[in-house]
Amino acid sequence: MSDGNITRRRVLRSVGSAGVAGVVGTQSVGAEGRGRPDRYIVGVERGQADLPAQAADEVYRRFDFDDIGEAVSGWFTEEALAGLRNNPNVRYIEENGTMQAHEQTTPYGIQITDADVAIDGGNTGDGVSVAIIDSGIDAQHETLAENLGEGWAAAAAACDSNCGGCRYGGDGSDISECLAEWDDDNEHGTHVAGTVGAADNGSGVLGVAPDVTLHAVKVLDCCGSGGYDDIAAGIEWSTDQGHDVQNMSLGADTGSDVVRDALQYAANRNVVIIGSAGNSGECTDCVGFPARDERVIAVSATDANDELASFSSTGPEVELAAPGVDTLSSIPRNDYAEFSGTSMSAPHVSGAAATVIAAGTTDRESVRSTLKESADDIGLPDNDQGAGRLNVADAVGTDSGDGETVSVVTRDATEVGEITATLNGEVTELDAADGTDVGFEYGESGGNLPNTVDAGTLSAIGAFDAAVDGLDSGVEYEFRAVATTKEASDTGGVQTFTTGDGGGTGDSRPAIDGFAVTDGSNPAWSRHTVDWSVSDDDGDLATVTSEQLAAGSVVDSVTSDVSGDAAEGTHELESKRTSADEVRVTVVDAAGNETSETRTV
Amino acid sequence: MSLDPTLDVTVDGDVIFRFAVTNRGTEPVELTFRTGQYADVAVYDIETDAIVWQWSDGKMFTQSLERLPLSPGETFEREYTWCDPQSGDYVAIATLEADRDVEARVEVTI
Repeated sequence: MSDGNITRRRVLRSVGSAGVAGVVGTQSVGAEGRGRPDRYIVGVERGQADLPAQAADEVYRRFDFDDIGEAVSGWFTEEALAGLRNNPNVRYIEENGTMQAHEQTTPYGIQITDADVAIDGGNTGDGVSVAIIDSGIDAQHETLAENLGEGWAAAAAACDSNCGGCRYGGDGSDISECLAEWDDDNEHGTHVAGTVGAADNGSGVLGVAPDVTLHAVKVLDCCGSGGYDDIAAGIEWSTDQGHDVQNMSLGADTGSDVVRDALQYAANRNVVIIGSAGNSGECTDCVGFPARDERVIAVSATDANDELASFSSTGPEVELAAPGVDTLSSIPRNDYAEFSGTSMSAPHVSGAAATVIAAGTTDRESVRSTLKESADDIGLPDNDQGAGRLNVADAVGTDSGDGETVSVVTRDATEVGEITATLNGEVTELDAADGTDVGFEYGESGGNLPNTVDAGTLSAIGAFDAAVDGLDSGVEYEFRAVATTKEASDTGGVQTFTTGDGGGTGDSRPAIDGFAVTDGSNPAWSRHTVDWSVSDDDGDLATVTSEQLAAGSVVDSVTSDVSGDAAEGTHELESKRTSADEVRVTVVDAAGNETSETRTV
Repeated sequence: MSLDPTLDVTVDGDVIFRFAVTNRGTEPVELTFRTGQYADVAVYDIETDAIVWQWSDGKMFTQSLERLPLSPGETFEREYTWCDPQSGDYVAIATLEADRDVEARVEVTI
């Protein structure tokens, strides 16, 4: 089916490697995909190896194949590759790949939450049942099949291998036949299930709780939607089976009485219920339903650097944060992909709840408080992280050994000038060690972080920074934080910054010179035309955004890219059935300086 | 804007809405959806302006992001069925629930 192929191509592209069935790609580097480029191999005619060797930022390996020619592998910038592509002595350029058959991958979310430490300590959720209230679970996935229990499907959501209802776009998996009515015709449920409990069997991915029993409760159809009544029926069915944990990676803005009844029914029978906070971010006080219900543990999404995902909903109902950006897990059939969403963060917590229950804490409120008390404070506001980012090992009191442990994350660079910048990092965990040496590795983007800078020694968790100078102006740099104790070390994710381009000091704030609003509203629509003009002394204008607000919330926005030292334009804002009462214009320059003005309308 | 939305209506007892968004440009367009909702259609009474039916009412959705590339000429399509409508004059508005504001509207008389 051609429709399905589009989706599949997207999926394959987001996995690191393809070509061998069942091969799992390597983990992505940066949380938002901004890591170093992969290694390339440049094949050249005989005697021409110096050509790519000189173009490379760093050479990894040279080959001399006699008559066949020579080749150089290493790290190349895009510009260097572009130059080489036009050279007649270049025979080929290929991205370095890995060839590994059926090796099990531990996704970063399992590592950052110390679920792998808990598993190594024998805490695997054995004997606990988790209901995946979702789009179903692949009935024969290599990394899930041994953990599958019973399944159930609402009639309107029952597996449909043709999936005609949603037509083109987001039309779920392209499975050719349904093996059960609860088989997954979307991909979402199988992905969620893999994070909760992919088996530790040497293939595919590792889940948080690899010995749980997973039950497919199919309430979402192949397009990814389901009715309140079917969702309530799924909760009821799961509760009647005696399941211990229910994962709900689903939601809506509005609440439902029948779902509330079902949640209370489940809570009365000691079911631990976990829900995804929603993907409405950036926003405040915007947790969706059912996550915001008091009976549900609401989970926000963070990334590999323990920073809040830009899409994550936040609010006072958030109880825990968990990884949900570029999460690697299972999809039908024997396939794997990285998905992002609070849908991906909730199942980390569901797996952890199962682990806690298996370790002997069975009362639902005790499980909840155990998970919250053991969470790692990652320095985000309470409405973003709740009690903190999930830590599975701490939740079951797994001692990671007598050895020292240290965890470090990389923060954004600050005070970025033409040739200087301040690099920032934070030690988020430091156990059984007297102190940790901290610092940074940095270099031009696309290279191999060849430079280091020392940031001293920390005796406890906390932030640290180091100033660097002698940089080139107008160049993008990458850096990451490094922490080293006597026995342990850790590196944070890679962050980037771009030095000023010499066109000015890079630090003057842009100005809004003109801002006029024309009101064209009618009873059905709030419509505002914004005429704006902006300027910037140091000539690095970046964007202008006009926003329409109703009671403090943004209901519509338009952003234009601008450049130079002055720009003007018009933005049309409109929102349906709102009472927009303010219009805001924000201008931002390349250095991140911004100026805002708000008008009441 | 190279995205061309259309909303076709078939009235045959039930009302079937077909919402299509085609990339009429020469460059690929990538749509980002935040949930499994993808799009929506709402029907308003033309006299009172009140919503009489909305597809997303009473539904919940997967909470994972999806990026959908639309090559030039490709179409994103959704079909919605409004069952047993009362007779009257209505305006239907279909909206893409993506990172781009795209909508189409059509008048419907039952």
